[in-house]
Amino acid sequence: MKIGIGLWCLQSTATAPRSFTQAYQDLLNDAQLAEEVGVHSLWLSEHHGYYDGYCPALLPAAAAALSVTTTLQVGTGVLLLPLQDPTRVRLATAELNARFDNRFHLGTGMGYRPSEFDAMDLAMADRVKRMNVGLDVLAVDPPGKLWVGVTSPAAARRAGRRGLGLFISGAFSKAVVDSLIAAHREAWEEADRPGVTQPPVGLLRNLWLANGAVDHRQALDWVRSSYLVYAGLGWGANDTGVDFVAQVEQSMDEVEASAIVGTAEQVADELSQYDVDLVVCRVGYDEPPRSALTTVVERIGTELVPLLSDAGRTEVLA
Amino acid sequence: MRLGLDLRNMPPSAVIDRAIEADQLGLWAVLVGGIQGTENLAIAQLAVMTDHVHLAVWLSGNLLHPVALAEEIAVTDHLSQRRALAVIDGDETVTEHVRHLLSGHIVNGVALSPPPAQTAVPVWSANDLSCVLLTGDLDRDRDTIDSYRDQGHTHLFVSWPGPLRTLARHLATRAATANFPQITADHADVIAP
Repeated sequence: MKIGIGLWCLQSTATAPRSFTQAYQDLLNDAQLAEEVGVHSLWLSEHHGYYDGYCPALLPAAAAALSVTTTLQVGTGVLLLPLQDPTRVRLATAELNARFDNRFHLGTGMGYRPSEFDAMDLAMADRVKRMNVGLDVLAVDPPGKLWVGVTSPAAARRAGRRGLGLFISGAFSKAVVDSLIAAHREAWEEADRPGVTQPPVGLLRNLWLANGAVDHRQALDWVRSSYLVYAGLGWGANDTGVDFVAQVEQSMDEVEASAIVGTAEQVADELSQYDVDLVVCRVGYDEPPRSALTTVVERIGTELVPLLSDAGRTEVLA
Repeated sequence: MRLGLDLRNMPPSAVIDRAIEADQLGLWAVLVGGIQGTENLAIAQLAVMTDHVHLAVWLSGNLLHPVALAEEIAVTDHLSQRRALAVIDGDETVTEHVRHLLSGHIVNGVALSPPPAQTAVPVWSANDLSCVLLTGDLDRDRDTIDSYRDQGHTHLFVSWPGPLRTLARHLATRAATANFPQITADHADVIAP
């Protein structure tokens, strides 16, 4: 099982205001740190026109992170494919992989904010159609490692039947995660196993390494508060019990319940129960001080990565 | 007049080497292109590999929505710490749209977020940008530079076949002022070749 870190959104939030330019310089430093301590990958996330500058252009940001590293993988978790010309995304993915030793992972998602479609003069009602067209453009002779971000079984099947990797959103219960994985695999098998090799499964997980009750509580509070961003964005996932708009506090309780916080051994024990090839540790919260973030990245690399290096299908993302 | 180095016709590895050298020699800007839709990837790479040189990107205005174009430029402006410049090759309305967004205006209800690091990123129409192919023959190239400078151009991008030190020593200096003392460049060739 590979261990990555995410999500780097490069924001300046109401909770933690900062210079945007500093946020981008921090990305470069964090990428170098992640590589140094043995983390597999760093994942970026996209939104448009949000008050906090949530990164709207992942491809140049990824190019910069790849430029300052030599072995770290960098991924988009996720790039909003219906907002883009898929041919252009395909070209850019190929270009990034050519420039940087195939270290770029393209994770795609559908988007859910009407204002983002309006800004690009697109109809949000067309997003499923545009997503399917985009995935079809990417899936033929893929220009790199491709993932599809999912919050529903339908989306998991969309990825599976094309032989694309599954990238599961971060706040779901294990039962929901398992059902998404099953839908992905069934669709892959029903489609006569495109790509021959079973496509990888990645899991974004709210996570923190903490020793002792005080640090444990602190980490859970950071996880909770970070979801204010999603309440503001209007994110809600159908059929998964998480709706940050209608019931913010209840939703945060559910996020807290699904978060994995503990010692490296405790976190490894829990993660090893998931049938996945990649875990992206979501530690890019806006509230923790930088020292806490860099410490947890170091600990993930030096403590958690060794504990899980033999778990799962180790050859899939080798 | 400021002199920038036009690298659009060079292979990617040469672009990086020349841009780093231009940065070290204090040239004002480099101009980079690329496959349509991927131009800002090279700019992002150069943003973290250089410190001072401005990074001008030659963008097709036909492939991306103006908001998406402006967003990419804003991100490269942060990555480069206020060194982004943009040239839009396309419909003038697209150029205006991008220019307004990168100047902090709300256009069609959309405000750029994040805004660029600069108060406003310079955005030029490709039709308005002066680019010239220099020959490497200093006698001829001096006349070319003098001509553009004396016409009142504020900046000029040049393709240059020779060593960048020669461009920086003989022509970027000459572009800067009408009374450049040529003896300083000529003597520098002797004492610091």
